[in-house]
Amino acid sequence: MRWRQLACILLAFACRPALADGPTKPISFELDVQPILTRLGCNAGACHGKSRGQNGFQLSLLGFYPDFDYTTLTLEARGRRVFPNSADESLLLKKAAGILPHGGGKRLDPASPAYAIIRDWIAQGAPRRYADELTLLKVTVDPVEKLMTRNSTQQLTVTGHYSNGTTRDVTPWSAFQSNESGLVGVDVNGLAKAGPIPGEAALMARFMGQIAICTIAIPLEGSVPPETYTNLPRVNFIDGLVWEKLQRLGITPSGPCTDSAFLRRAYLDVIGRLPSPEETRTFLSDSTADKRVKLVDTLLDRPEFADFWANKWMDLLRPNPYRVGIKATFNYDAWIRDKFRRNVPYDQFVRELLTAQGSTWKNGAVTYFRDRREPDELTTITSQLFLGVRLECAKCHHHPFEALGQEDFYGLAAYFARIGHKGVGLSPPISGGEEIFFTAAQGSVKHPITGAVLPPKPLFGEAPVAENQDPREALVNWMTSPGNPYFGQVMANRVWADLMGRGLVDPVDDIRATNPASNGPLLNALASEFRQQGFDIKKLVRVIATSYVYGLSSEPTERNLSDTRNYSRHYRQRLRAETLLDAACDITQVNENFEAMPPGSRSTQIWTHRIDSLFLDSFGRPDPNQDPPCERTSDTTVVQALHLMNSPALHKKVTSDKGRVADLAASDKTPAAIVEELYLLTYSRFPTAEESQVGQGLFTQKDVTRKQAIEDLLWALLNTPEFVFKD
Amino acid sequence: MRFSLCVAIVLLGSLQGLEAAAPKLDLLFPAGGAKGSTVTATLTGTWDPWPVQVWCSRPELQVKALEEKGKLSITIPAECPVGVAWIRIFNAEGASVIRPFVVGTLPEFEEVEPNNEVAKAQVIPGSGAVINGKHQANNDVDIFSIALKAGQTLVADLEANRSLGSPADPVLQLLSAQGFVLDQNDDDQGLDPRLVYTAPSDGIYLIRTFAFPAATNSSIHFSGGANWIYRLTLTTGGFVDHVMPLVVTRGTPTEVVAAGSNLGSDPLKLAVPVEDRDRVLLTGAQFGNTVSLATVAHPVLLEVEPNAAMQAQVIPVPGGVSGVVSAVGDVDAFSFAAKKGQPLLFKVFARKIGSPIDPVLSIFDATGKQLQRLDDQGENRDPEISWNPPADGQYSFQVSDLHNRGGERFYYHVNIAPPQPDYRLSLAAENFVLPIDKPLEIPVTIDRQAGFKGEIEVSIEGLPEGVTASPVKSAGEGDTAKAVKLILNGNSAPFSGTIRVLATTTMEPKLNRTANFPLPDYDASIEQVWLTVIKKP
Repeated sequence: MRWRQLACILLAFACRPALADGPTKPISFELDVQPILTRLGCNAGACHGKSRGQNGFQLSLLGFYPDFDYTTLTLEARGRRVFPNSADESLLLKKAAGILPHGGGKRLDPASPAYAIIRDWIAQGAPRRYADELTLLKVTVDPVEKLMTRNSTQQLTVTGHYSNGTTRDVTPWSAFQSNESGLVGVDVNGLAKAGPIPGEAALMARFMGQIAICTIAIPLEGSVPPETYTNLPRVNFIDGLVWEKLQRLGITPSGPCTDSAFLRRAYLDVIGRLPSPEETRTFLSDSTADKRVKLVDTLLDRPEFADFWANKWMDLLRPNPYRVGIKATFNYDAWIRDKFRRNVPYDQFVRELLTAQGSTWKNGAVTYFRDRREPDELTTITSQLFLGVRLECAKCHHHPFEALGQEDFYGLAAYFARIGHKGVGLSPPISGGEEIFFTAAQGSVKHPITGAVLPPKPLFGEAPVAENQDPREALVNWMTSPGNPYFGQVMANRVWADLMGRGLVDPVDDIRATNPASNGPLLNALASEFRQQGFDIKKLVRVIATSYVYGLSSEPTERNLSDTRNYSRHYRQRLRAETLLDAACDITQVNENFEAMPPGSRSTQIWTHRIDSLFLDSFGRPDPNQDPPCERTSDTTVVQALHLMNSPALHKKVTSDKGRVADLAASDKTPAAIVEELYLLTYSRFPTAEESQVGQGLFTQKDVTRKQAIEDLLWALLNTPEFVFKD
Repeated sequence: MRFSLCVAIVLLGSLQGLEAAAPKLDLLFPAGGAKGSTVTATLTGTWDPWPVQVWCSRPELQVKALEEKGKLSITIPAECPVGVAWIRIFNAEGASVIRPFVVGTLPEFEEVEPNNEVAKAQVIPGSGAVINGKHQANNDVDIFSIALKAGQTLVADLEANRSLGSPADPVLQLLSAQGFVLDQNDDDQGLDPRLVYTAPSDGIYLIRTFAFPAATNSSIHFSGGANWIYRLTLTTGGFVDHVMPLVVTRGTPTEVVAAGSNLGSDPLKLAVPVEDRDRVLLTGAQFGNTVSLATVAHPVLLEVEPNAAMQAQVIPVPGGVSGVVSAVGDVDAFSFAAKKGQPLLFKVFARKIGSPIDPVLSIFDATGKQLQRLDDQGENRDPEISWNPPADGQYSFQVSDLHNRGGERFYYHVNIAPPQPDYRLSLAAENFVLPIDKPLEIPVTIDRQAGFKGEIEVSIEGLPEGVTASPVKSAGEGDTAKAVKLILNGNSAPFSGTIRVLATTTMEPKLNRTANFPLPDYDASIEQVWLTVIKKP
């Protein structure tokens, strides 16, 4: 298998023209030699491109740092790697050609043009640059967009654009990757192959640190009349943009969901709890046309909103109390909750957090800096959380899928160079001391390789630091400025993902050209709306929850069955751990008693994931032993199913002598009324006639008390997907 | 072997029981009461026999042991001054440690358990009250309910760690009637929380408190214990946060202006009583709390805005100035004259008197060049420096917040005066026993300040007849400079009472000082230490 692949590569070299036209012409290290090394995989992460190289020979990953590679090749290993006087004796060629033992095997045929290019470059004296050498400005890929039919192929062509205005076909030396290889694959030669499933994929072509993207769509076969789309309702801009996308792919949306599904969905999405039976009855019997909008507005005003949304943010921000201290964590949590309680605009929330000063005991926001103590740690988390740009790669080497390098990483880190602190630092596992953060007069960040002091520099655009200004303020000004699309996009995407079941960009905090949004215009429109509404999170939630698309049924149709990214129907989600546990408590009227929480507290109010709860852990609460920001899991597991079936704690709630079941058993309600109540409690809908009959049947069983019958039915309902999932 | 040891212990225990021992006082609760009321306080500790005798630092209070074991009756006259009284119990064998009892003006209530759930909140009537409660055990949560009208401002101030000796680091939350948190505070005055909340609508509001341990540990739960007491002030009436100026000139009639909540639209002016004390206490019909003010020897000025760097306000030296860093980025500048060779002591009072500011003091010469910038003094956030002027001339200093914050609560006071050679005396205990046929040593520690080298004579006031203690001298240098021992002799008759250790300089100028014992659990000290002379068998 491997051999076949290698043979392909070598064959490709044999067939394609070399970048330089002949040995008499000067050969460029950057333009001719490096692309070969990259294409042969010499500088790949598994070979000489890894951080310590291979067998004493290190190249920069994927050849992003030509100066470094040049030094390595020509000066290190006592100059044995290249011999200009006798080029064929160079270690570089003898190893690559397998003439000398090489851990990576034979990579280069001595008869190939690639071998000749490297040999001629060495023979020319292995120059770093020749006179008037061109510079690669950018690469483009053709086609940029393409509709493909199922199981068809498409060759991509990559063109290099040079400083003298010339272009070259660099396809043979380019690398390719698909973000959805199940839908559209791409081979090493740039041949795209559409699979059998309709959908979309982004294909990346990379040549010498430059990246170009081709987006491919495979529409559903068969045609849909245009009126189908023009006749669809458009409550706000979201609907039109979703319909446009669906039309492009030939997908049609499902119909609207039932009122009870909408009610349950909106309660769970906006405030993270189920409606009470009374609330459900009122909503279902309401016949006014705008009752869904009114419901969303009512929910946005509920006090549960703050705890529910703060709880999500604490997944991302919340530190480990055994690392930063219980008091610092407690006050950090209080700070976050206060912001959501007051519906502080998102940009202000981020500004207050990232420029926080003061004591960990009085201004919880500074715990961000107590937890992440070094500029590089702060850079990674800040960029990922608030810009959706994952910079971790660029800390150690050039980002393989982005035009971002170490200069970019440490330039951004320099905004965090002047954070001073006094008081008592970390001393795990208690870390109980008070620490105070302030803007220090001095501080700088150095490039880890060159050692040069890097001035603060944003990833793009300008963000100068004024005299006497905290550099963090300049950073936030840049982050929140209208010129920075990422800031609004990543939050809009998070909220969209929460309400719609999947992010337009997925994962939600990985925005890059090589991982494009499934609906780019919609992401832009949401971000722009968010900005225009003053970064008001409630208004963002409102615009999504009142769109027609939000109210679609989750039932698939023939023409949207395979769609998982374009919102042609609502995507079901398992309830979050906290929501599920709070629902179990609300339904049974038996509260949890959490340590370090007042009695009667809801699990969305917990201030640290370190507070024990087997239930919350089973349902994917972030693992307290992991360093945040760690992802919460939303998948379903056998453990969860077993927990619902067998958990003694849940059993106790259902069978408690005090609470809902006992009250219903003691009431004078008929079995039919009780069955109805239980369905309203768990599913937020009335039972069907058949369901009611089955439920009532439990009451007539032999040797079963009324209370036991209620317990049995409730236990059964709690163990169904209709309860565990948001429809 | 084991068995006989056991028997021995039992025997020893019973023998001890036959002989009276000095009483122990672990707790006095409630730790306060309102003027014009009689409080029945419960003691926790050991005593034998009952009734014990009781000593109170404030003669206005009538304190007596009731017939019921462990109960004290404390009568507070209507005209009694407010503030802390210290109470100890004693018998012929010795005395307990002292415990605080706070005299206030608002009606007082005791916390009634169970009040840990929203549905069981203890209803507090009226518009102002002090609740005496306890974070009584691990996981204890206390909830109180109060009715508010829209626009009404409630002050909730919890006193525990700073003045009552509670090991707690308490938290206050304000909740809606449904139990949702509306506001929360962990630390305001030291570790003790305070909330000021204006109700958006008429209704019932809940005040909830729980605590973590002040000595931090790694267990994630609320903590509590028998001596985790607190006093929670809840009032929609006046509450003074601070007064301006923050300190007053000793012995001079002064008027201060109060700042705080619900104090009315006109500036509330308060006359400071003329007393020759280090601190004076202010109360008034317009507010429910007590304000404690330090007194100083020199004149005190108020900051006058604008006083930015180019408009420094001129102040006399020695002197002091009280100001407020009133807005974000505000810097207050003051100009003063200084002479080469005459150092000046700058002392900032801010954090230690309850201000949230993290003060930074900077000194500049006449050209605006910064000569000194001072932030913390060790763990003390309030800067203090003895500064040597490089030349005769006009200088200035600036006060700002380390974080460039500001607001009406960001108050500070700066004293500038030549360092005064002086001394302080402290004792290592608050209780002393002169045993049978054996002398008693009382060690006294001397803290000589600003190079004070004078000879000091230390003596005792209040010794009973027959007991003598020769005055001892502390020389400016050598073994006795920092510590001396007083030796008490002559056990002739039983005695229980307070004594004071006094000192004076043997040369002019005469400096008279009294030794104190710094109370380890309170931000306070006491001069009246206890002497027990045990009777001869």
